[in-house]
Amino acid sequence: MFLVIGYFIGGTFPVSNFTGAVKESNIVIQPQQPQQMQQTVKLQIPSFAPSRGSDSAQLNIVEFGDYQCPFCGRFFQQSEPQIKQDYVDTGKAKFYFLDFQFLGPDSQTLGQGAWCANDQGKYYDYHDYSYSHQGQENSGWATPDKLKALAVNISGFDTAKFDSCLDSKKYEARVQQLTQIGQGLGVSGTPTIFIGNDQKEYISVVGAQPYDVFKQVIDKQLG
Amino acid sequence: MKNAFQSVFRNPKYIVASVLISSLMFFIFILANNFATFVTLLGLNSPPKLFIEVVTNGAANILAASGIALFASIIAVSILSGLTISMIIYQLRMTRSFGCKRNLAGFGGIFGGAFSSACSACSTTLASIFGVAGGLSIFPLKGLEVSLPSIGILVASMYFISKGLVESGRCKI
Repeated sequence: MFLVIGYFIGGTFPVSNFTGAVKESNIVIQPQQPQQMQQTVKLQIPSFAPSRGSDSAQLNIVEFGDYQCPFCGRFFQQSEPQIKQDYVDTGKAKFYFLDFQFLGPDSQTLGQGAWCANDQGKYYDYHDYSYSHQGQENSGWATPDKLKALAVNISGFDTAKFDSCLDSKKYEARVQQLTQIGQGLGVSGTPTIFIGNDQKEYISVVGAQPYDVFKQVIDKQLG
Repeated sequence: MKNAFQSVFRNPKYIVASVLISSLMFFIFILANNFATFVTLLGLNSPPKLFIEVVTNGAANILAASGIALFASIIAVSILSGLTISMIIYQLRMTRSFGCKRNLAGFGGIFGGAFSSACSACSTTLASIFGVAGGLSIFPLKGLEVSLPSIGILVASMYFISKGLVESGRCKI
């Protein structure tokens, strides 16, 4: 009985309506039939996605997250700094954050804000600032007006440019597209972190798991 | 109910069984909600300490991200599950009967407890099952809406088991 519950709640049961390869502009996703215990997926990271770390890094760590999700906040505070220190800053891996904004309208706004920040080369400054100042989900801490007020505090930010970009909803479709791509990959909760590369494919880790879990998967993929 | 309860737990074996089952239920609730991670770690032949770390981290995540009320309700469901299952075992041993369909309600409560135990991720799986985007996080009480009725169901189940034991005439009252 609990295995069945686990399948549903743990998100490994194939409940998504994914039926095959998904083509989204320059993104191709092909799920693998599980031949081993951990399911692997093929993932081509969108060319427009900014990353942290060296371009020559052999591994990619791709997080699908929601800026309002408290567990993404936990991952940001607990495991991400150590992953960054041990693997990203040492040139072994590149880190990507991609949108899976599903918790409400403010998540969409936050996701769009990230891409507006990216226009100024501040994608990860915005990412760090948003998670460092995360409020309770859907409590109104990230309405467009509140977000504009928050963005003032990011150093070197052109707030007028940011406000205008956010008001234009220029990146609404991109946020939705990335969320759909996550669904196509079988993402059923945030954060879901894919670790791998084109050759080895990607292993996913669901949730704000301890650093040692990520270390185990990253070391396996590096080895 | 009090007398039936005393009859069951007068025997230290059933107290030990309750404690063990309660601990196991709590472990299973966390395991069920981190199932994907367990599968990944099994595939990597990870050391046992990593599984324990996932469970303790899962409990800490629930406490930190979902609040003390939900965490306490999960512990309450675990303890009540342990007591209910011990009483069912006692009933089975004493009466050689499962005690009708009423005892199945207890398992409904246990299922509810497992379902309301938030995992270490903001889940969309309820979206897949019930068409609710955002999973438990969209509920104002973050899952207490499910766990509180589970506690009620388990208490009711214990009442019916006690009543069944008294009616069977096997309780020393």
